[in-house]
Amino acid sequence: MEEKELTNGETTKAFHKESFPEKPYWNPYLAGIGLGIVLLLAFVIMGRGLGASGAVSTLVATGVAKIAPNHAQNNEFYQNYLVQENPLKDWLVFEVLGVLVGGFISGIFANRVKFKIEKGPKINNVQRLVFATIGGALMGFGAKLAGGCTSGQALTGGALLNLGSWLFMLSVFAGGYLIAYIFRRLWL
Amino acid sequence: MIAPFYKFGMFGEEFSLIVAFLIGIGFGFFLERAGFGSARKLASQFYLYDMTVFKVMFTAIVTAMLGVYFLGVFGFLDINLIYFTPTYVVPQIVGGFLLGFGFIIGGYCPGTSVVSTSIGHLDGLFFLIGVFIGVFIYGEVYPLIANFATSTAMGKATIYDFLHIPYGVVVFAVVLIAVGGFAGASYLEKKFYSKIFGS
Amino acid sequence: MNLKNLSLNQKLGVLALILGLIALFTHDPTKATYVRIDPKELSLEINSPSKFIAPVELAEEIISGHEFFTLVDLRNPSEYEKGTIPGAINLSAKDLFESYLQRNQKIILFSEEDTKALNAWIALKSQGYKNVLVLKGGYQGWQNEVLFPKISSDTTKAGKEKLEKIKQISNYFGGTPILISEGKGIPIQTETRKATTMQQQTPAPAVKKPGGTAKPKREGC
Repeated sequence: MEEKELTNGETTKAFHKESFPEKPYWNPYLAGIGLGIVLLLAFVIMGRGLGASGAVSTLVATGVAKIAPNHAQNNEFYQNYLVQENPLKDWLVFEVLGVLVGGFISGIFANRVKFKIEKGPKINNVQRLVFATIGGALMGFGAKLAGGCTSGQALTGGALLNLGSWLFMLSVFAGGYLIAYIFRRLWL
Repeated sequence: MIAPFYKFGMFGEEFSLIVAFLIGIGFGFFLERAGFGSARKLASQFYLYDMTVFKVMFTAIVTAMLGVYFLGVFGFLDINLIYFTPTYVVPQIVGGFLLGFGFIIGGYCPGTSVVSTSIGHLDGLFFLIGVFIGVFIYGEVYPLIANFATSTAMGKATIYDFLHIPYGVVVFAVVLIAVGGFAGASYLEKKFYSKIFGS
Repeated sequence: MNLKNLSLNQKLGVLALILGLIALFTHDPTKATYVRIDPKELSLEINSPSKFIAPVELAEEIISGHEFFTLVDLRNPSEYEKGTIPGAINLSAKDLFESYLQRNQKIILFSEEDTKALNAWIALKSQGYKNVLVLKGGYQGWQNEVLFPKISSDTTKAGKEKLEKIKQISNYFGGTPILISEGKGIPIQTETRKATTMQQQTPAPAVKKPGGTAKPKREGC
């Protein structure tokens, strides 16, 4: 039993060595300062913070309104995202497009752009994709209930000392640590 | 006071979308630099052998918090004009737990899944599709849970107003907790790395 | 302790702690006490007519829906219930600062007449609110000039066009012009309801997109 653990541990270690060699990630504190400055710029230039899940909501609401206009008309949640004539001319939608480009630029310069499925050593690709989709759905639902995700609530609200955002952030970590052990097979 | 520029009418809606795109590029760039395009890197936060998530997030929060505070003190930035997400205590705690579960099961959050997709990770794309599904489900059941979703509303609530402590004291406390947390995180990393992978 | 012996991470930590320590001894940046008001400028503005907006001007802005502004009805809730300008929100003078009104937002104030709105105007201005206007003549002015404007028949072509425009605006808000002939006011339309009963039940008109009620743009996630 112990031997098996070790082998798995070693494959994980090997995975780490193989998959992170391209170029090392930045010092976390420097990357954090970079992120903090981007967030500060958003505050100074726009008077608002960053976000991600809001863009998804806009896209979903727009899609629903295209397919079933009456249905969207009667739903207060969708209506929140359909205020403008063209709902897609939304700040967060453009911001998330930028995230896509920015991530790609960074990845290219660090040789990290690679077509792959990232997963723990004990599960297969199909399992990983199924769990990724389930996790995404949980997060989409939770983010809407909480009024924002890690970017919109934890980062933005965290920096503004927003009470609800801090409660939210603590809950995210609490929720994660609560079930981390149960789902360790996914990652370790 | 001249900032936030947009709220003082220095440019219009169209230009704000260009700003959004540029700010998004910066956001995505630093997320990727930190390693947040990798689900294993992110998930390792919860197995304590790599606390990068905590370090990056709290450094960003401290940086922006200090920036906002001092730009406000200098009279450059009107903090009252920055958009504040209203507080709904119970929905935010429940939503937070769901996000925590989603993080362990899926390995990303919405923002990082976009970064992950941008560097070609298929699991990031599937996660993102999952987010769309989750938001759609939320939209469909919203009429049923609207009462709950808007319960325990506190409006614009800040830690310093809620606790009746001066803003500056909370800023200092957060810096203190963050710096102490970083030292503690580095200690935990070493301990758990050798525990999980052997030394 | 020699700074050179510290690693980059430790230097950053020390820098953050120093900044945090300074924050302990600074004034609260969210309090507006340091909003710089030039008393001279303010008193000049108090006496200038540019702080007023005419009822017809407001009506045109609401109809066009081009600009986003917040219309504030400062009268009692009971008066507000009876009838108000489409899109107006009801706030008492003391709630003004508690509300979500922001310093850079365009705000149009009105009360029954001018006085109450002018007081609120001064209060907001002294707190650094930039773009505040007062509806000239208050809600009475609105009734007299937009809902039930008194017009005398004019047979010239230009006069007719002007009358038609007044009538359109008035009807848009559910009112009707009153034709003045030989000193007696007669509503122009065939309806025989008196103007006084109409103002009681000014119907919420089918406003397509009134400037005042347009939802503010969403800013959060």
